[in-house]
Amino acid sequence: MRGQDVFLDGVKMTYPNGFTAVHETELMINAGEFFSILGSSGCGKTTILRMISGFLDPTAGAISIGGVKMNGIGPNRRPTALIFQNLALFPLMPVWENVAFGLEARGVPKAKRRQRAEELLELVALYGQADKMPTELSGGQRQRVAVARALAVEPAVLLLDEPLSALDLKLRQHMRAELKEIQRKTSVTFIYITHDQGEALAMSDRVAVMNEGRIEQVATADEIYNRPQTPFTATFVGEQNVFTGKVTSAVGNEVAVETRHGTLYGVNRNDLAVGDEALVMVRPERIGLLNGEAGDPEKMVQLNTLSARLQRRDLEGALINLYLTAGENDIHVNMHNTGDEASFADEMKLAFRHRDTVIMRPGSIARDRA
Amino acid sequence: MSVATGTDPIGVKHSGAQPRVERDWANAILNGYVMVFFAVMFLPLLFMIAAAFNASPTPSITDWQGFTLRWFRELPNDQRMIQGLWHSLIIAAGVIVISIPLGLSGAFILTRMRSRGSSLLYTVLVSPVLVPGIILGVTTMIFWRDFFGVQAGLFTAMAAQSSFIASYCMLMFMARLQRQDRVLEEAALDLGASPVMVFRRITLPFLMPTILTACVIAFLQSIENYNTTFFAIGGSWTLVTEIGSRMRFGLSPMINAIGVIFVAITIIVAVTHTVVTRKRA
Repeated sequence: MRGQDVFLDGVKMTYPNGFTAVHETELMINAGEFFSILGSSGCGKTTILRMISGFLDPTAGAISIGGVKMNGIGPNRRPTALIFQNLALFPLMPVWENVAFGLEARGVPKAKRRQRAEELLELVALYGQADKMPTELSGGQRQRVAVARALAVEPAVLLLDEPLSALDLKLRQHMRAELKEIQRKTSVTFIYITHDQGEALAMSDRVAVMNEGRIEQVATADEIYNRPQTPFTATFVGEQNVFTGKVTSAVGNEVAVETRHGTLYGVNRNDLAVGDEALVMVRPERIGLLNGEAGDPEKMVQLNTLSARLQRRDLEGALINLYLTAGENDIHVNMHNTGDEASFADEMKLAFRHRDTVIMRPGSIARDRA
Repeated sequence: MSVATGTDPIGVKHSGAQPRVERDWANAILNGYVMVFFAVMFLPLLFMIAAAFNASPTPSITDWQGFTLRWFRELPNDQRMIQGLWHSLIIAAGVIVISIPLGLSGAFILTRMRSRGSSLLYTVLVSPVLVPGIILGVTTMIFWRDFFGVQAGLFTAMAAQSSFIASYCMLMFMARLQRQDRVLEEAALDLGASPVMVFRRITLPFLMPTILTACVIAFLQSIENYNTTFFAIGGSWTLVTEIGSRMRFGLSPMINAIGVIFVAITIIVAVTHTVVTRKRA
């Protein structure tokens, strides 16, 4: 098995009722890559998946797989295999016939099919389950049958439509690791659709964040989390404390924004100029408490500081969540439980590094997070 | 009665059970109703069966002249009856062969290709069930005679019966198809199956239990049909139309004997069907 690249060239999808599910999109997914498309329900990610697999024809643009244009080629003649959200195992066939179904469609003789099915079942750690019916398997086992069935046709591209959403948390985490391992072994291109940022960040080589039919950002997981390019990406992936203000200085790669809580500084990655409206964002785990003795003068220079009032403190075991207010801003701080209970006063001074402060132009903000 | 009735000390509400006396009365009435229901249903059948073994030359159980199997023995010698039975079976087989594919295609069109014409088409396809059997029989006979020069006979009876039996089959197939998970067909297609293979390996196995049931129902509907058949069959006859015409000349217990055989066959078919479908499930 060898993965192939997938190229979406100006692809657009408007349904007959006039709703545009996917706006004009350019996207290159590399051969052998584990690529995730992350977005909330209705953002167009499933539409993209169905266009790549051939169940939908784009209203404009073209999709190429391995350099070959796929326009007008049906799902049964594309080098793709799709793992459905509800898995869609054939309930009336034993496991091995499920796995070998694609080979049956290709006219492979029965003995050969059976042998190949056994090999694939071994690959997904289901050896010896060949003659069971799908209903006799557990959720995780059924999941693996679906993977084996898709791999049996030796696809160049494997499409996965939220395949883990029906599993419980423990199993989901386990299956993440297994999927990643299978991808590494087979070097098939994986395109993984999910609304779960944990899955997307943990497994993917690259992630595309989608919102309302548009791709907001395509980057590695670290890049997406640490250096989001749009307010949507910044707020959809992970949590942010958001302040608004106006740029008062932009010198070199540093930008200063005047907010209600004083001037906050950050790296100017978005070419902001003096006078621009700006959003200042910092993640809960990047905020620290500033008490008297934390005075390393050299580091002090690079810290934004903020006074806030403690409203609530939730202990979560290894982590402590602090909920504070500064003026009309709610601030969430997330810190390691160091056992130092005395350090939480009513009035607290918060600090965060300039380099952890993301500053960008205002835009649409995610209402519910991934 | 105190206010706290229905609530136990920890405040959990009881499930609202009726007082015992009322429940006993309700049970007594229900049991009585069930017994009357079964009596009305099955007593005539029992009398009919008993009369088949009575030596009296007219069907009766009050005038008991001794146990006999004579009426069963005479049956094979009655050529018209045997011929009629043979006709009935031929027609039933033909009805199954016509109704299952017709019903299946109608169901596919109505469940898969929804369009503005669907509800009109549905009304048209279901209407034979609502049309009186006599009209179906007469119109079928005239249609084939005048347009194709086909004389009334077994074939026209087959066509007339199929017109409404196919509708029954269609309704059954529609109910089944509406419960199908279409994703399974998409999955098969995605794995490289041709539409023909999708139908053969996914859709058909899913429909199989319903096809079996539809065959049984079509067979029973066809065998027992009188009015449509009588008007469409012309000079020919089936077992049922033959029995019907003999009613005019007075009854012979031979008809009871046929009844016994029919009841036995119905029970055997029904039990077999239940056993087979249960094994599949």
